[in-house]
Amino acid sequence: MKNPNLPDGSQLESLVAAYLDGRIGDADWEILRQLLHGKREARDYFRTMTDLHAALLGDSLSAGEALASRDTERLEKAGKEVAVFASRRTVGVALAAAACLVLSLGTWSWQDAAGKVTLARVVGATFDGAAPAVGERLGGRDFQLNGGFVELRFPKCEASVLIEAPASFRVVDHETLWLERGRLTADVKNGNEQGLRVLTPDSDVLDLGTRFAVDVVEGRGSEVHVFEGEVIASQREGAPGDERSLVEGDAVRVALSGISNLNLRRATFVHGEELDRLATPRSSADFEALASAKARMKADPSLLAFLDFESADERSASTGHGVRWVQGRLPGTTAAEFLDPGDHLRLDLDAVTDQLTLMAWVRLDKTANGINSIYHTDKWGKRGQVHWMVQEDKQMRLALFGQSAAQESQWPESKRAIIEDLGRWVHLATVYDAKSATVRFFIDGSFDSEVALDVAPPAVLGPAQIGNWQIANSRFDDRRLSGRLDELVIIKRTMDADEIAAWVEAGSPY
Amino acid sequence: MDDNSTASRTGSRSDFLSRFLEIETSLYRYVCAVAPVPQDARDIVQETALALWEHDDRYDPSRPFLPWALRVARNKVRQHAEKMGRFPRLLEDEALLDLIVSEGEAHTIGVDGRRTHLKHCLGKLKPDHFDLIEGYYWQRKEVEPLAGEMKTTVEGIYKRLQRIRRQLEACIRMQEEKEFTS
Repeated sequence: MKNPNLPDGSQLESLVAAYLDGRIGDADWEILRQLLHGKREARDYFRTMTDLHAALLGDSLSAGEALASRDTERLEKAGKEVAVFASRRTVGVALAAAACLVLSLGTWSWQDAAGKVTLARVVGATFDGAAPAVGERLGGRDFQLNGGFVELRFPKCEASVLIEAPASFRVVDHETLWLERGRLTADVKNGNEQGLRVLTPDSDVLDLGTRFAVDVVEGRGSEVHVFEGEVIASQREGAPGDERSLVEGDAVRVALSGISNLNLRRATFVHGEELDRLATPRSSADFEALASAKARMKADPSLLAFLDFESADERSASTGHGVRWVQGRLPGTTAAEFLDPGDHLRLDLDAVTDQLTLMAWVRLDKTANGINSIYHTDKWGKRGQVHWMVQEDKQMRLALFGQSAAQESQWPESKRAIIEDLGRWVHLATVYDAKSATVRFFIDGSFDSEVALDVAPPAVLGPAQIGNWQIANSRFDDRRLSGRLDELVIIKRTMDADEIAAWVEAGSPY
Repeated sequence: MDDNSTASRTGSRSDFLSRFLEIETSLYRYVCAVAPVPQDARDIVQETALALWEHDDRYDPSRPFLPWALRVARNKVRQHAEKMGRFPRLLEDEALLDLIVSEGEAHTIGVDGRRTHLKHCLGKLKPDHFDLIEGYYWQRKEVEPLAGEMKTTVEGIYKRLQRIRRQLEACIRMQEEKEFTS
């Protein structure tokens, strides 16, 4: 893990900034005073910043200007030529001082400040090495969270930070968190005095009192999504001024190449409200029921596909593009996440069937063109080819080519909307029956609606994409899925309402 | 100061100027460290400069000018604080202030290219950040109207200032490093 103990991430920086701006309170002044007494490096930093402050004030402070007002021409002329800003250290001394400051902050920041940040809650959390206990003060240690969630409390800024596995993080000080990988959501009640700061390998996210999320996407950069308030996001190694001020609804990806805009992803992040529901402990009987249901499903002779991404072999054998393996709906499990246009998995089946049931757990965000593709056969032009998606008005749609030939705009759809603002895991199921010419929709295990068809061809399953539908030279837009998908089931028979309800009951994360 | 006293000092003006220019940087640094609020610092520096000029006859040329100037500045800070009703924090802890000043003076040898670097780094700021520096430091605008102009909160302005200063410092350090290694 890279050393996050940069001087600019320190308590000292905030205290000195408050001092320079003349707004430091009694308690903070006392802390600053002690730091300045105790550390030569802290005094060097203080002097460096006050010198910079003096330099920036320089032109307006020119004593030449002051004395010139008393008709002292020479002073006026000379005063304007004075080099106001001078930290007369040799370069060698300057570099040595900077290095000392890094080391010294690494020593005292976690002892004096970060120790106040505590572990408030764990939900299904598993760590590499010794796990911290709830209530324990965090600081000075790198944590590798392999499964589940942890919630950290930053009392200084009244912030609650929810980190989801897999993640690597470290508390730098009472207002700074280093997130090397993984994702978090932050709810900061008091950003006015000391905002929360999140450093990642790519970005520096400074909160101004708000709710936001940070997601470190390996190889692609760090995403920042703002749900409320204001956040400043910048490149860690960027040029001065290369930063973005983000407000509610904004999202960016910060990478080495720069900062680019994104569509806001809200649902993919777990928020505190949802964690309350996820925190309900599952009994051993619950786990046994799920294992038993999965075993029965896998033994079903009608099963065409069952993807729960739990084994490393299954994941490594998956073909596609850009899929990210993230935490599934149950702490410690795995799901596929699709972030960018073009991300998808491939699933090549070879089946023609009159009866078909499709099921999956998803958590979805809106996409640019409004369509979240779940399962799409590559081809669309032969009777019976299947496209299953969540549509732009947030309803589930099952379309088979030729199913309602003259009424392309009236594909069978569910009645209830799927995508909600805050996001949660939703179970989707659709049951197609060419014999009865019906499509039935189920949401979270409950029957939603049935649509009668005029024409119901057999379903034809061939080469297909999960999480996208992108055809070269197609008139159709890229139909990406924005979010996560877990436990996809495709079975060539109808499942009834009781079966679906039992399946959802066994596998529900809530 | 009346016309006669001004006239009587005409002959020593160049001596004073020479002395003052030698210590002016240190004076700025000192005042900005003790009274960092731009308007306060500006007033105190001006008052100190004038006091030094007006009381130049009390200065003993056989002794170093800087300690004398800083004593005058410290008095001006106190007077200004009493007038404004806010006492500078560092004056509450004179031992710490003396330590900071003495260590600062120990580092007055070597290259002084930081102002040049600062100009370079200011030139790299994006326009709205440059505008903020201009408004806050050079036009000495209050933070509240600046927040209105920049469509953010007062806290947002302070946070941006903190970030800009950090960026400038990092940029200056990088320039120094380049200078050192090239």
